[in-house]
Amino acid sequence: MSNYNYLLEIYRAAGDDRLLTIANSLIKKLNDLYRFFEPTHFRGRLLVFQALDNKDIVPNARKTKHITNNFLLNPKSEQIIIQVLDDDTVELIEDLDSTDEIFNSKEVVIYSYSQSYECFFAHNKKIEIPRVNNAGSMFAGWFAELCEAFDHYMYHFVLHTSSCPSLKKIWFDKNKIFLRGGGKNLPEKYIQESLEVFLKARLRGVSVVREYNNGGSKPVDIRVSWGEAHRSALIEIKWLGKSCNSSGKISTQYSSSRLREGAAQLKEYLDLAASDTPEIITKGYLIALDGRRKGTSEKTVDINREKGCFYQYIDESEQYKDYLKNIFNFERPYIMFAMPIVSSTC
Amino acid sequence: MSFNHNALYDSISIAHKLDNFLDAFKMEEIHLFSYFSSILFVYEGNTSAHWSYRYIVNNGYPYSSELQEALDRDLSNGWFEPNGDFHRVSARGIDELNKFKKLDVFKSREKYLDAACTTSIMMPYKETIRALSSDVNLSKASTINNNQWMEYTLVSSKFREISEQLGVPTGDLTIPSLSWLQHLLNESEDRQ
Repeated sequence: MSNYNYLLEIYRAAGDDRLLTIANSLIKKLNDLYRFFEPTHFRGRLLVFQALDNKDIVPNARKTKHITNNFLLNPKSEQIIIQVLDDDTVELIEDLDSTDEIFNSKEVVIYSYSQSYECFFAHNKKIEIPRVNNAGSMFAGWFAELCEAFDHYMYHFVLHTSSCPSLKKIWFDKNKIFLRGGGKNLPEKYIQESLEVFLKARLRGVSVVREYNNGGSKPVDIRVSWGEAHRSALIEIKWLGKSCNSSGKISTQYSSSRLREGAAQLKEYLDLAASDTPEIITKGYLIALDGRRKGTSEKTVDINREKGCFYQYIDESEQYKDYLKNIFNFERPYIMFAMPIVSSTC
Repeated sequence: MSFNHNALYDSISIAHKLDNFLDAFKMEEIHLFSYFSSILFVYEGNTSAHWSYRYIVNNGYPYSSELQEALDRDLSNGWFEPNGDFHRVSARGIDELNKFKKLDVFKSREKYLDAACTTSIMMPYKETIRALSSDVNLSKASTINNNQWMEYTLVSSKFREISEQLGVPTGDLTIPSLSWLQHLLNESEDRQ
């Protein structure tokens, strides 16, 4: 069980009500700062502290006052040290040889972040902050919420029969053996529709746009953006399996190599976003609805569990692992297997 | 029913805080954080009657008809604007709130609303909601389909007991708020 009572620990370490007031203020400021800073894209250390009466703890260091927090969007340095002031502005502290003066001061509360580990310090005592899944920091939960939304969509909408009217349209047959094809962008457009509606209902403070034109060879399937948090997620949707046209003929067939194509497209979008909108923190997500079944032909009308679920647990990471490893904002793809309706008699 | 000005103030103040912290809010969240604020109010030694409106449990969430009337008024006045399945406070809403804030009669409520809403950024928000909605007083009232007013005696004595055990500083509300949420999370975990 995570312990979120770190404020009490700060108070116990500090033993001073005034430092408790500062800790409250510091936490609110972290909520603001993280709107401009993505911890999972940062390999260095971030220190943010607030001092009693705005005391100048490191008088010999170079300080630059900032009224806005834009300077955090594309950090150049591996160490970022910020002092929060009472008027809600901050000072960026540079050319500091040692942080000892800050840590040794009894008049500050310090927040530290490094490599997905964050904690507070008061009177040189460390107070840990619980880790949050999929987020570098507890104060930067936007992309983590998106990942939770994908997990929910995968298990409650895709895996089993869903009541989502758009997702129902993607199937050619009632047993969900073949997807519906034979038309422009089928079945992809229904998957897009379904995911768009789901994300709009699930995520707060977002704009969700389908077919977002970012100047690439084709539009991005879905773009989710958090305007207030300077973030966006580019989502490329693919499907795997066989689709049938209205005559029952197999019109298209996609195997796992489609994932590689999707990854390449996503890389193109991420490169464009980096050059066109560098002030927006962007991550890329490949979503694949996996409707592959084993050994099917146009005559197949029902399927057993062994053939229907053959691909459910197959690891396809070979198709995209290079992208995942080498592109810092290419996130773990979601391969969402859709169960067929299986028959026990075939 | 005469209009409840405290409920109106709370509705717009809580909405603005949640909007600032979380970028949007749902109406049921206003009820939830209002109820949480009222617990803090009673914890500090005030009587629940002085909070000036009461709650029942509706679908597992605390609900106040006075607060809902205020929220309806916020919407019809254009102080809230829809944002998908959520809402945001409009520029007009912020103007109105700033006018309200100048009135002394509402100033004393701010610290309870602020402490309650600040918990939404002090832990992952879904944990804040999980904690608040796992309060046994809510689930008991839901289970017996009870439309009785929610009562504070048990929750406030437990709240005070936990705060005393932990040695929280007097005059501060944020630590007791977080401690209470942690207690609710621990209890919920133990019940599973």
